[in-house]
Amino acid sequence: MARKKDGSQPPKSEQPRHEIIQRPMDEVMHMSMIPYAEHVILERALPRVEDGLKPVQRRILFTLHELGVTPDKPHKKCARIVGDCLGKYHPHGDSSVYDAMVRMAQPYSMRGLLVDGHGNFGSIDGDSAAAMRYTEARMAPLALEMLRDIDKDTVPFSFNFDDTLKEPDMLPARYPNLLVNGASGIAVGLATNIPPHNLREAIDAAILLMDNPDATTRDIMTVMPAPDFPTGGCLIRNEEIEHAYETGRGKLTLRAKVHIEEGTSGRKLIVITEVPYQVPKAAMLVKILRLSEEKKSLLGGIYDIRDESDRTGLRAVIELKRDVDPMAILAVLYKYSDLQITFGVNMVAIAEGRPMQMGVKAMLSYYIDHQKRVITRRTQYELEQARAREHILAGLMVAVNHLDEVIALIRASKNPKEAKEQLMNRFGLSDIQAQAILDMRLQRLTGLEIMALRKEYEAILKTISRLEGILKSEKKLIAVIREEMSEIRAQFGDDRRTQLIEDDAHELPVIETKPVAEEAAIMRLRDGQLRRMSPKLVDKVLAQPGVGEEVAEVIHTTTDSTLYFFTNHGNCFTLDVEKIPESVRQKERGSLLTGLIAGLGDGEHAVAMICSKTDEMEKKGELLFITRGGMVKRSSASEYAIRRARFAALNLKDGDELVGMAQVSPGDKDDLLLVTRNGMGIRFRLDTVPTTGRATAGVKGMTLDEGDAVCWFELPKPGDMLLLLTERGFGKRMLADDMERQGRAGKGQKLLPLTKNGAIGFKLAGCLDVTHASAVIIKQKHGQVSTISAGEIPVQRRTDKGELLVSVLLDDIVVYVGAVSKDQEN
Amino acid sequence: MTEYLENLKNQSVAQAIVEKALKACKVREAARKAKEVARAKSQLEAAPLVGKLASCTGRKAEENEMFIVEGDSAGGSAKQGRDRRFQAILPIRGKPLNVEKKRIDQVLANEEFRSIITALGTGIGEEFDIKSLKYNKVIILSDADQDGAHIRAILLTFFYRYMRPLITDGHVYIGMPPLYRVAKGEKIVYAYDDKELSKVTATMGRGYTIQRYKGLGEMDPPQLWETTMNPENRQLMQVTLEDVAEAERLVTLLMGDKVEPRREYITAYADFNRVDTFLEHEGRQK
Repeated sequence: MARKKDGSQPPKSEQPRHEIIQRPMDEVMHMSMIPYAEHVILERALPRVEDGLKPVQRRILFTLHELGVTPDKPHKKCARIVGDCLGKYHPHGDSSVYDAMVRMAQPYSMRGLLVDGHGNFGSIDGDSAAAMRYTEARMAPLALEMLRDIDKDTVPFSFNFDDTLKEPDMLPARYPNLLVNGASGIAVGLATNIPPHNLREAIDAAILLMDNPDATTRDIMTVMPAPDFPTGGCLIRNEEIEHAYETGRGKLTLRAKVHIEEGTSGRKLIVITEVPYQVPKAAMLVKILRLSEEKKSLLGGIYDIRDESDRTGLRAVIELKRDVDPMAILAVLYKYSDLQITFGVNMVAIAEGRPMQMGVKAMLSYYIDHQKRVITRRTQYELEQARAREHILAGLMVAVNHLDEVIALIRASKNPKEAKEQLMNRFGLSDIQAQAILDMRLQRLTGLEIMALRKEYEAILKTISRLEGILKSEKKLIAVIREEMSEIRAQFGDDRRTQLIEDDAHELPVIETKPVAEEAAIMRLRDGQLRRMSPKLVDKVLAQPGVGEEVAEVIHTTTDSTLYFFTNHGNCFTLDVEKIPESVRQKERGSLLTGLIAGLGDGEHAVAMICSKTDEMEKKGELLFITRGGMVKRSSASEYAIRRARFAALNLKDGDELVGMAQVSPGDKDDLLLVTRNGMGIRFRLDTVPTTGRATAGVKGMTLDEGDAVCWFELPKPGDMLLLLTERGFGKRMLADDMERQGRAGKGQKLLPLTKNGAIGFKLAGCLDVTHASAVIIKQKHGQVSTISAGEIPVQRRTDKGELLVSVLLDDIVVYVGAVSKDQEN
Repeated sequence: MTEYLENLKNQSVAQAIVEKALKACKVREAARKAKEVARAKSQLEAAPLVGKLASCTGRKAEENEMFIVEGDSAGGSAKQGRDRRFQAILPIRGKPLNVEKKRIDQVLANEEFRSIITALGTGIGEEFDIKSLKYNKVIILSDADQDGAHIRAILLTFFYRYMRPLITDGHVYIGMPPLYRVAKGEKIVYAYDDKELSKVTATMGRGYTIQRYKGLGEMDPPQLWETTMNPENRQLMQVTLEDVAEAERLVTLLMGDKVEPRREYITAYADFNRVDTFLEHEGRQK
């Protein structure tokens, strides 16, 4: 038992006393944690290499031994066993003892059962055992082999916690229990996790190493290829096993045992008959159910999950939908659920009084040394017993050989003491021998008995020479161990439960199947609403009268594409097409952009939109941005292939806004045309705008007067017809070609004589490309809406002032002008 | 109303209404949280500790002591053995949380730490106020076994992390129960460590019996008073903070969540070949 470490304070012999010692925090922490760590490491969490038991387990077995509850006796109440164990050897909580005993009685926890429980000892579903007042227990037959020869002085004993009783430091453990039952535990700064093994294989491995101490890990693996878990399952045969056996550390991959059955109506069933070690079945199924809901794309094929376990055994069923490949589902389950686990081997045990990480060979070597000591000590013990008996028998033989003289001598003696002395003097016998002769019953003098005595004497002499032989020869010693272990192997050995399978990870690729992309049409309305619908439906919707006016744009795309919205604040927002609710009826309200994307600022709205798959953005060529302040920026579209909900489309100066965006081809030699609110226009070559990165401000496209702002732009083609309309309702059509090409960043030309007196208006209300327009819609602030046939608007030259198209009264102004295309008219 | 909102023309209005509602909701949420925190704190201050803490009758903080006792069984004898005028007893059950591995909200949710915080009255962390300390001496009284040592380390870590001035100002003490009781006839002597035991047994002559204390629960209330709690007789260890860097290092290393350095430290300092010397005394006794 550990002691308080610090005893440096000189003790005072006189009492009473009163004193306060001072200790710095760090020292107190040290002297508190170190003994605790030592204690947990040595006496709680880790098994001993010799018998593979933690102290509490050893104490339980020893208590069972002392109580005599062997397999041939009736069960005893667990509370009694726990009470005995607590009171005698284990000064801790009762649950620590009972929990440990319960585990030793669980066939799914122990590869070699040590306790035979009666009652509810828990289940593989993780249910706990009944309280200890209900359950009963006794030793399992294998426990006898753990304890065998313990009374023959085979193992050292130490005092218990109150120094009133002695308990074994280790059990004789006549089979390699550390390997057979494994161990797991967490100490301070250390932990252990040793997998269980097959008894036959472990004994074979021990015998192999005993016969050939130079055997390598690989040699050992010829007889003990891998761990064998009590719950069976399938272990993947890979190099990690050898690594774990060699170094004591490795990651094993363990799977449930499954097979495929044909279910009703063509559904296939994945049937689980064995679960991985230490995986509670119920929790595993719950997790699979949750996974099937979370990962619909992968596990959508699961139709039902049932636990069909009963008294005939474990059986859990995952029923699949029709035409679903069970192997594909299994591959996913192996990857994401506890149907396949990683067993982290970390073989740490107490050897030579300290925790040690060791491989299988070291473990077996320590075990063999332990067995040699056990058998040597037992042989010595038996030899002493035999010699004592031989000594007595030798005396009796003397008596039998000189029977008459002995009888005469005894008869002549006055008392037993004299008789003994006479015998000792006459025949040179020892005190014990003389006493034995005196204690001899007369019936032993019959001829038959004398024969038996002679035979026994001969037998004991043989025994002595045999025992002496064992002590003298290591070979004989090993032979004894081998023989006895082989007996255990024959009596308790069973077939391997965990099947070794080849690593087939590459055969079962997990393909994250994306939902099949469907064709979709995105309809953007002038008021900012978005609708997604099938291409069929969009035609019907567009065929409705009056709809054309509301629709700003229709994009034909697929559901795996992404929409990129560019806002007046210079941001780009992304929205996956499939996230837009699909409209199924002709007349249906769309969704507002603010409802579909988060993070729009105050007054922020989309001014442009493109649609593309993120990885196909480069197909969009280059993007051209125009701002109110006259800045122009072009960047490669691939710069915008960003999987983020929101990012900067360009850098804007304070107060500036994005007017619009257009797609252009790299190296485009076309012109760009900008129109301002003051009626100024400029046309310059696009290739004078350099291509820059995404987060840049671009270059100046036009020099603006104070208070002026770019309101419209286009990439004019030959023959393009523009419509210019002032706030006061004056307008004209004009050929784009009427504008001369100028240099970039100039002031441009006057497109309409907006004079200071405001005769035709102070500002431009709008500018439009009406080349393909049949009609123009004009809206006024006070609500008046007019539709004018496009052809009726006079075509004038650049310097003309236009004509009154709509009457704008008093403080009313034109706020909107839009075109109705010839297609929409139809 | 519904009609009005469904009309597309009024979307901006509807949008505004929704935004306003959301904003109000957020504000309410924030207010609720603030209230909850305040309540949790005031609860800590005013929480009834009846049945948990056996407080003392004296009201002078500078004379009062609080014993934090391991386990209810030892707490019981401490309550019976104390001097109620200035000694308060707070029993804690089992192993407390290791605060080094937990977040502050988990610590605050822990029943045992809540009791300690409330009993001391100082608050924790930045709000710690030494002036409201109700007890001049805070004495950790745990069993003289390894688990007791562990509990001591856990409690010290808590004080270090959340009530450091308590340590720097020297208010934290460790109670030192005797390890042995040597009796010969009427004469009883307690030994507080092994060296002392040797000395005591040497002066006792033959025919004495030794009792080795494993837990505080083994002692009667009068014994506990006499040996561990009585200011006239007891031995206390005052925990000081001299080298903050070193203390910080050890607390992080021994209690933190990094395993590797802890293993190295333990391997370097742990003595796995400790020999139990109790038997020698036993031998002498016979």
